[in-house]
Amino acid sequence: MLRFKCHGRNLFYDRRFDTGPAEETYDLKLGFPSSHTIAIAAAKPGVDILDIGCGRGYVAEELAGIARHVTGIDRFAPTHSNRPNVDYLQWDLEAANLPVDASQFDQIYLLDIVEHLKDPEIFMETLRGSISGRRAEIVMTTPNVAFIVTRLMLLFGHFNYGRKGILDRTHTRLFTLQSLRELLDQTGYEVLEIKGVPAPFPRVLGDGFASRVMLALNQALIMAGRGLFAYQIFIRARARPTVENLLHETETGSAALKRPPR
Amino acid sequence: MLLKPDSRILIFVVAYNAGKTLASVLDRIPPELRGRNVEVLVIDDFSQDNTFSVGLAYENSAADFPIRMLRTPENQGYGGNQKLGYRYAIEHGFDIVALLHGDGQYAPEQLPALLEPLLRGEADAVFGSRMLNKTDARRGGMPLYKWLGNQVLTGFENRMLGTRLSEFHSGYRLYSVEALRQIPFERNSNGFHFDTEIIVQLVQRKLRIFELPIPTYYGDEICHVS
Repeated sequence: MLRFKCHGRNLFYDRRFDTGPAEETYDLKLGFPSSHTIAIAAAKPGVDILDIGCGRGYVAEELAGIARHVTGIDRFAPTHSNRPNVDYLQWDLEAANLPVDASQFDQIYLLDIVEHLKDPEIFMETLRGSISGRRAEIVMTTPNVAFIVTRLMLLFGHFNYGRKGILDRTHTRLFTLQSLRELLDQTGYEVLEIKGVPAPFPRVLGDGFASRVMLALNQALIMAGRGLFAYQIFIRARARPTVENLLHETETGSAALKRPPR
Repeated sequence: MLLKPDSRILIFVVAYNAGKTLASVLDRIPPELRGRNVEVLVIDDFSQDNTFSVGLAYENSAADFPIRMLRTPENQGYGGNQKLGYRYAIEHGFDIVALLHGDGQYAPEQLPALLEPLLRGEADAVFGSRMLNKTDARRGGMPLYKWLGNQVLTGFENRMLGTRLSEFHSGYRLYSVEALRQIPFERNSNGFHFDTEIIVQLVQRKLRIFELPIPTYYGDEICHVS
């Protein structure tokens, strides 16, 4: 029974109790400090946003209330939106190329995507190569594998995947705040902002007093040590131009400087 | 015997606030290198002085060999500027690229000697070293604390890499462009760590680094390359 309860809370995974359908997209987490509320707050008004791995479009629809236009791409993307400034395209994370020209966007969202990639380094480098002309901003969230509960469980010999959570069975790569920063730094991005996100207590404890107290406590602990107490990591970064693009920009700019003024 | 006498050579000058010294550096490029498959590229790393206009005057008037002056759209740093120059050398089909500093820290007169191992096909990179003859640097005016620090650090770095370089921190470098193509130098730091990172990459790829002595000048110690 205890194992069943722990399986239900995603603390353990037990295949005997995996009887429901596979959940391949995430629910929207609004109304409390979450990766979704923080990510939506980071949207810039009047810009064009690309939501890579948009799932069923829950966040994309919220972003559309702020942005000029949102394009969502995902295997499970809806066929259309009721909002006039949202478009969806079917796209698989495993595909080599994006179905859109990433250089057309001002912000590119990667919410809970990087942990599903086989090779985040190649993905981020390829993305950078295609967007560096416009210096697009990346908005990214991913679970923090160094979260205190995960650390303590590992200390006692447990590294238990579950249907959801930090150790979701479908997560292929896991990051700490430091290793995520290094991923971006080493694939050619300048990190602008990094924040710790509290655990989604309302999803586990219900939307009541207990979950609000736990949220407040988690947020206070994050201020003391986000590497230890952040459940998820939120990061904003800007792609540095590739050397090739920067050289061409330098040559073009220099030619303009050499032209005599009219 | 020179195996590669027809090599196309790029003399690449990194310049930052080098308005007072750039002309002298360009004038000091030895005559035997002028007009012999040799071109000069100066990249002004968004200087705040007249570096660009000094270099532009040379671009417009240099009759004996081509000089190209570029200015970055924003400051890239010492490593960032090098990345641009090496990418330029690769894209424009050069065989060898020689790095000079626009502040005159390294003597352009040494270029022919430093080029020899590359032209003979005996090296993939040549470093001018101030420490090959250990007492030269001290005789040249290097303070003792710097000399000692350099020796300790170099010993540690050699142990870590399994190399026997006399120093890791000279900026007087020449590279075979073919060697540069084999290493991901574009992933390196945009700052001064670039110079150490590229050594690690060369060693990892088992590329041949050759050192030759260069004189040390400890007069005006202001280094202007970033």
